[in-house]
Amino acid sequence: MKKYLLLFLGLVLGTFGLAQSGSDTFVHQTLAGGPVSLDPVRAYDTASGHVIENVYETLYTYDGESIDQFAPALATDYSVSDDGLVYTFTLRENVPFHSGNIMSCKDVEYSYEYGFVNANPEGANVYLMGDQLLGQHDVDGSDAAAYQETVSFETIASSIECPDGPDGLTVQINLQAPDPAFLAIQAYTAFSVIDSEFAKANGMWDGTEETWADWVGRDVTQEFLHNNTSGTGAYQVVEWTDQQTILSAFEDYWGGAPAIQNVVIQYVEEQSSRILALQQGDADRVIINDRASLVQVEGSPGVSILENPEWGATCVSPAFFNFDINLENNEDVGCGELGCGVPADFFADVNVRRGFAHLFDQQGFIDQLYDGQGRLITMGQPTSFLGYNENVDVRTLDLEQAEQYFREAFGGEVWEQGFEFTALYNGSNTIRQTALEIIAENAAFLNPNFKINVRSLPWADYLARTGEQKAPMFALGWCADYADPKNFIDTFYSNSGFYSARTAIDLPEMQERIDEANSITDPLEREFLYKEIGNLHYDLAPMVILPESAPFMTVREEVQGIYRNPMMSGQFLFKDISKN
Amino acid sequence: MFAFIVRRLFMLPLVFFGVTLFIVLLMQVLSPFQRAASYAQTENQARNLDAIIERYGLNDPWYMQYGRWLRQVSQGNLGYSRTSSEPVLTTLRKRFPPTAELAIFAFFPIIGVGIWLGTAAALNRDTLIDQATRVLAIVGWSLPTFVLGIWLLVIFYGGFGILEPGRVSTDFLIEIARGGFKNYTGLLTIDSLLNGRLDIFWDAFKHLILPVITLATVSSAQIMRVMRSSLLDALGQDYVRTARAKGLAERTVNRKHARRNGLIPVITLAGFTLIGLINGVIITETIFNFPGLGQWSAQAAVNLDYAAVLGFAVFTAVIVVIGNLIVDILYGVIDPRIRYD
Repeated sequence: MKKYLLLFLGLVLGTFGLAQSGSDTFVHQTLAGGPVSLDPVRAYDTASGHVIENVYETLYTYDGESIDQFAPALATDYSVSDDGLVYTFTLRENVPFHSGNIMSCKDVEYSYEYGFVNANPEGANVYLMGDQLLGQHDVDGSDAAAYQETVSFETIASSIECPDGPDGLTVQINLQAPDPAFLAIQAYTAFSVIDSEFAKANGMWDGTEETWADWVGRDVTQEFLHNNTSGTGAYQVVEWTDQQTILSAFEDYWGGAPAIQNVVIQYVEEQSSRILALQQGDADRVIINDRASLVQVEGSPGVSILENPEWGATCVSPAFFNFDINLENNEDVGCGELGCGVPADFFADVNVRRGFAHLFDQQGFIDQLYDGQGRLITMGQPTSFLGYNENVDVRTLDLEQAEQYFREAFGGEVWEQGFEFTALYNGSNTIRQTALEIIAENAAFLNPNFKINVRSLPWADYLARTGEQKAPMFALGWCADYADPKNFIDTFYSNSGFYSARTAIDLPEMQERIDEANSITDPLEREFLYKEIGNLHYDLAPMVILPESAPFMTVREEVQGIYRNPMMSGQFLFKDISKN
Repeated sequence: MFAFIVRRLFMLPLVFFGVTLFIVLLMQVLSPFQRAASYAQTENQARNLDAIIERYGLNDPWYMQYGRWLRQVSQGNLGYSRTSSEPVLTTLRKRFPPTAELAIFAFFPIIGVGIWLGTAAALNRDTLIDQATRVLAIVGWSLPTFVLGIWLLVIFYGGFGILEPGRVSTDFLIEIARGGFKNYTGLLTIDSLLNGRLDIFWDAFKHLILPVITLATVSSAQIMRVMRSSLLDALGQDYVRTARAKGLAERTVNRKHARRNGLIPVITLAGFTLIGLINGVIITETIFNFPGLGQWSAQAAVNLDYAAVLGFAVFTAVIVVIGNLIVDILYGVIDPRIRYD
C-alpha cells in the first residue's frame, strides 16, 4: 500500500513542471464573463473587444499609447475634403485575411454596410456613426420597420463607396455632417474590416439590397460570424468558450508574424486564484480589481507592477444629482418635502449642489481608497481628452463653505429644516459606496438634520431605479467609446445625453456650449468651448466627480513590450509583446 | 416494479411544468426594465434598454413569454444563454461532463471515507477512535467550502506551486483546442486514456485533487455521522445478538449483518449527495475555476439570464426525479422487505 502511495505521489508531483506558461504562450487572466460575441457589429463589451481588436483591424488605429494620434493599419493614407464630408482612404496592398482571401475595398464597404444594415441595438455602429453617415442615430434595428422607413438602403450604400471598383484599394466614406471625432470613432472595433467573401460564403448577409431587410435588427448571435472569424489581425481564434479564448498567431500577418505564438485569455471569477496564478507564473498578466489588493503581489518574485504617472484613465465616475426626482412610490425621498425628505427639485438649487460638493473630501478619498495614488478630476471627462481644463479648481471638503451654501439654499429652508434621502450605488462597488458614505457622514456632522442613507442595489435594479429617475443621488460612470470629449460631455452634461434621462439635467449655459462644440470641427475652438464647460462645471456643480485611481498593470517580468492605451479593451495588442 | 418506475417517470412532466412555471412567475416580480437591465453589464450598454425590452419581448404578458419558451423547448431549443454566449443546450452539453467528472471522482471518496469512518466510529464506540472521528466530522461539516478551498489553494498552489486550479494545464488546453484529441465522453480523464495520453490523464487528475478533497471533507462528514448512528442502531438489534450467539466471527457479524442494514439510510443520503454533486457545486467550481454547471448556473442567476435559469431548472428536475428513482430502486435491492408494485 505504501509503495503505491509513493508511486502515486511521485507521478503527481513529477508532472507539475508543465504548469508554467511557456515563452511562446501568453496567458491573461481576467474577470469572469467572456465575450458576448465575436461579430464586430454585435460586440459592445470589453471582453469581446479584447478578442476582436487582436483578430480584426480597422483602417486606422491608435498609435501606441496615444489616444489622439492614429497610425495606419489597413489603410496607409487618408485625405479629407475641405468641407470635412468626404474621407478617402488608400488601403494597404496584399493584406491577407485568415481565410486566405485578400482584402480590398469591397471588404471595407461590406463591413460598414453590414453594420448599418443590421443596425444592432446592442452594438455600436448606428449609435456611434449613425448621425455622421446616415443622418440619424435615434432609430435602430430594434424597430426594423421604423428603421427601414427612416434609413434607406441607398443611404447606407452611398455612405461608403469604392471609386476604383470593389477590388480596388481606395475607399471613400461620405459623411452627412463633419465630425472631428470621425477618425477616433472608426478605430472602434465595431468598424473592423470583415472578410466579405468568407462571410457571404457562410450564410451571412449577401451584401445586396434585395436581402437587406431580412438582416435589419437580426439577432446575429445566431449567425455564423458570432463565433467564427476571418480578420486581418495578427491572431486567429482557435477556441472561444465562456471559460477561455485561445488565439494563435497568424503566420501570414501583413505586419509580420508576432512573437507570441499562443494567447490564452482566461475568465476567472476568483481574484485569489488569479493572483496565485501570476505569482506561480501560470499567468503572465492578471486583472486585479483594486489598488488595495496590490499588497498581495507586491514583492512577489517575478511579478511587476507597472505604473506610470502619465497614464490616464478613460472612465469617469461621478456622484450624480437628480434635478427632478420622481417622487411617485419612491421610498428614497422620505416624505417628499424638506425636513423629513426631499422635494423633487431639491438638487435643482445650485446652492444645494455646491454645498454637497463641499462635503466630499477628495484627497481623503484618494488616500483611503487609492493608497494615495490617484488624481483629482476637474470636470466630466478624462484628463487626456481634448478640452480638459486642468486649471479649474475642484470643490472639496470645506464645511464652512458648505454651510454657507446650505444656508442660502431654498431661502434658508434647507439649513433650518434639514432633509433626508437615500443615496444609491450598485452592488458591491466599494468605491462608490465609500464616496457616498463620506458625503453622508460629513453632512450629518455639519448639521444633524442632514440625513443621508446610503443603500446598494443589485445592478439590474440599480439601472432600473436610476432610469426611472427615482434616485435622488447616485454614483455611476461612463467609459469612453472613442477618444473625443463629445463622448463624455454630451453623456454627462447634455439635456439629451445618456444621463439626462436619469438626472433631468438641463443647464442652458452648458447646453449652449455643448451644441456649439458639436457643430464645429476646429480643434482649437472646440478646446476653448470644452474648457469653458469645465469652468461651468465648477460654478454650477452639476455632479461630484470622484477622483480617478492611478492605473496599474500586474504582469510577469518576462513579458516585454507592454504599453498602455486606455482606448483598447486589453490596453495593448498581443502582437506587440514578447517574452524572455 | 415496472409499474412503479413508470409511475415515477410520469412525475417528470409535472415537475418540469411546476418548476419552470414557478421560475417564470418569479421573474415577473421584476419589471421589464429590471430584467432588461440585466442585459447591460456596463453603463454604456445601458443606453438602449427600451430597445432591449422590445427585442426580447420582456413587456409581453407572462403567459406569452412562457408559451414562447415552451414552443422553443418543444423544438429542442432551450434558448440562448447570455452568460455563456451560446445556446443553453450547448452549454449544458459542455458543462455537464466536467461536473460529472468532478462528481464521480468526489463521490467515491465521500462515500468510501464516510462509510469507513462511520463504521470505525460505531464499532469502537466511546473510544478514542470514536471521539476523534466525530470531532473530524464536526470540523469537516462546519468548515465553509470556500474557506477550505482557498486554504488548500494557498497551501498547495501558492506554497508549493502544485495542483493549480482549472481543469487542465495551459499547454494541454491549447493542444486539445487545436485538435488531435478526440472527445469521446467529455470526461477528460477518461478521454485522455482513450486517446492514449497518460500525460493529459495525470494532468487532469491532478487538477481534480484539491476540488475533490474540498468536497469530500465537507460531504463525507455527513455520511460518516449517518453511518455511525445507523450502524449503532443495527448493532443493537436482536438479529445481531442472535448472529453472535450462533458463534459467527465478529467481523462477519459486523459486515454481513449489521453494516448491510446500517447502509440503508446512507444510500438515501448518498443518492442526494450525488444528485447535489451532479447539479454542480458552485463554490468549489468557482474557487478552483472548474468549468462546471454550478459555476455557470450561479452566474446565470446573478445575471438574470432567463433562458439559462429555466434550462438549468429543467436539467435539475430531470436529475432529481431520475436520481430519486434510482435511490428507491436501490432500496429494494438492499432491503428485501421493500417491494414496489
